[in-house]
Amino acid sequence: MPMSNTVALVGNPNCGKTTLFNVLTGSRYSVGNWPGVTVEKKEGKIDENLTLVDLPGIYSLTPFSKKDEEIAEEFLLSDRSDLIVNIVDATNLERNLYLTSQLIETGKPVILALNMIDELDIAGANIDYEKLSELIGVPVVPISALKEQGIDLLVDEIKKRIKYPKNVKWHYSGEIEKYIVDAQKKIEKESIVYKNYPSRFLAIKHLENDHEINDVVDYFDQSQLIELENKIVADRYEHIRLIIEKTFFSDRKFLDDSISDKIDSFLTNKWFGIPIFALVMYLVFQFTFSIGNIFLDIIDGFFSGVIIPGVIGTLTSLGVADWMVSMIGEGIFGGVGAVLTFLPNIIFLFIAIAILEDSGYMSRVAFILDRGLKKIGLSGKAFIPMVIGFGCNIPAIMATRTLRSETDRKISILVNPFMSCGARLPVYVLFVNAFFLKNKALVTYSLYMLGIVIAILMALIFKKTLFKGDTEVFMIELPRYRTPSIKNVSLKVWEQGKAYVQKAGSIILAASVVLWFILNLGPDGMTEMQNSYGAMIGKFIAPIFKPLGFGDWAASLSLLTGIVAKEVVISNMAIIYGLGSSVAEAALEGSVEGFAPTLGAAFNQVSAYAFMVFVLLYTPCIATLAVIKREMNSYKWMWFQMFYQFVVAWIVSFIVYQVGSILFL
Amino acid sequence: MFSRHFLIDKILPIKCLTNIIQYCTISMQMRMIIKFIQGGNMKLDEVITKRIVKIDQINIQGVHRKRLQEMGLIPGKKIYVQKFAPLGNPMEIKINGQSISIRNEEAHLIEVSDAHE
Repeated sequence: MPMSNTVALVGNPNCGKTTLFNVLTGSRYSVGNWPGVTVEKKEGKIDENLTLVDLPGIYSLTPFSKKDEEIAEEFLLSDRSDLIVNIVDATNLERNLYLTSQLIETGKPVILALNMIDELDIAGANIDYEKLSELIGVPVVPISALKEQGIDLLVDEIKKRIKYPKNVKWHYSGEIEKYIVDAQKKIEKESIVYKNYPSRFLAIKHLENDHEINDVVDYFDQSQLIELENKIVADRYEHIRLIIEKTFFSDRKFLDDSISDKIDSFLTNKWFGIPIFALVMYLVFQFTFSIGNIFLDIIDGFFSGVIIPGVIGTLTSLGVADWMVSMIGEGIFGGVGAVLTFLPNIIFLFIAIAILEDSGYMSRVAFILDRGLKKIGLSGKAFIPMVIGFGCNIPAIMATRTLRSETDRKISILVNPFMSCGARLPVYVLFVNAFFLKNKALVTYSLYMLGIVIAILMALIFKKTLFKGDTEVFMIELPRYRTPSIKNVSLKVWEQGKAYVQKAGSIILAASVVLWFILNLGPDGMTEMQNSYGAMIGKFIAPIFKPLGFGDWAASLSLLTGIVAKEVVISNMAIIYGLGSSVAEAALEGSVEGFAPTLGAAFNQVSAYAFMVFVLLYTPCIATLAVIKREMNSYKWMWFQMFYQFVVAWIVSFIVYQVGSILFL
Repeated sequence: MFSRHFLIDKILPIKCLTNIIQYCTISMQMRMIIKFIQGGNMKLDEVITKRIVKIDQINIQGVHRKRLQEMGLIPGKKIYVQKFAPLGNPMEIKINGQSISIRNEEAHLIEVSDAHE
């Protein structure tokens, strides 16, 4: 039986690693055009005996309390990895080869996958691959992950190298090599062990002045090390320079004003940069609404006009018990249908965010806003997870791993749920269509902005109270702009849309059934909704919400159950208010009179807005809480998150309702 | 129309102030240009945009130094100063044909000199 082997895929952030991983394993993972998309290692199969592990993008093997690099380094040096595929951006050899120099030092066999060769052609440059392979000492395979060129050759090379591994050494100048050998000898003589790192690797790390290694190896003293660190880094870059000089040929000059610079002269312009950003965000929501609503109408008509009457009709004709018909028709199809009705809006929101991510604009947002975010003790990079949070808070919270400072990361996690995720959108769509027909996009935009403002305020408070400490060094790559590829965008939208539908089919389905039961059962068995257990629970907690303007049991119960998943708020309202099938239909007709016996009676414009504010800000869904627990590595923070967001939501809604009532009613 | 007093009390001081500000900005620019001509050291965040400079020394140690190193920022390297962000901080530089953004605070610790031959 052939042995099973593991190949590690390593490369700089944003060099096409995930794209290559998808091509090699046939998986479908999200790809973006900003550094740090892959935050966890993922596994896939090239064939049955060959496992591929995609590691987070790193610039070097220098773990300084930074999760990504730690994960990468430990995995690479462990017994689990048999071979390293180092993916290299051919258009930026110099920086990419720096990582290569360190990868070679791990002692594992390395293959260089030279990616983006198609872009080289466009730029009028070319590389002498054979020479490159000869100078570095490892096999070089030119590929284009995006266009799926050279992939077969790469797989062949991987298989060949696994059978016949060959260890190489990175070339250092005589002086440096002598220092390395000296340190290595001492390490071997005193049999110093650190994890399971080879002695040469340890010696090199020592020369690099790696603090962790210096605790166990003390061949050189601190003053020597400062000098040596400079020397070894300069030595590597010098060797890289020589390699590039002999292998990379380009007729372009160092300073060629690229298209990206021309785009940037508008998008990060001194005067227009910030207004353009505000406009882009506004357009995203305009897009979500205007186009999303067209489809919303169609789906809603399909559900309320065809599916639900059809199901009820069929069940009745089959002689199913009345309560069963009601449960399936109103409970399941009403609840799940209400959530699915808003799928188009959510899809369009995901499309907009995916386009922003894929184009390279996200990094520019970090660039533009850094100064502002620095004032509240965060960095511009902290804004990327925030924008992703508009789609879903779960990947957003995971994206905070790209922040290097631990305090920045914690604060970013704590305030991320204030970013209004896609699941909260249906609530706005319903209420905005019912109560704010003239200013739909504006009212929704105001909610998103409010979320940002609250997030900023809370970040400021946290920075001043809980987390006093230094801010991370802000350094971010501004990748070249790219026309968002249809493949990448649709992949991402498909993945997130699928998750939304799956949630509708699982959690929300279950919640709808449970809710139907507690709304139709009471102490006396089957009963009217007003006397049900659900109403009792709702009435019990309603006084909490009375000062906020929505103290009726139905709204209270919806909010409570909304902690399961935010979509449940809308599916519950659909069931409770009997909006069921006609929820979006009536909303789209825009007549509050259509809701008169139901929504219109429970809400007015001010309390409707206060309700939306509450939904925006209060306790995040269970899935988000679970991710927070995992990322913060503590239950304490999870409970804190639950509680403090509820308090913040209550206070803000209270102010909105009370002040609004005085001003407008 | 305007009395002499008005001119002396109101217009003149304003005129004086604007002159002083103008002088200051011009002299600052002049100083930078002179520095360039003399080839003297200056901090990266003081460089006028759209210029190539050479890194002479990096006065940052530890982790942050490693971050700069892995991006290719090492003494002797030539970089191009592209622009400053709309709010004046951070700045965008180009190194190895790649745009990188760093904060003025860090840039201030990087000593550079003019690289135009």
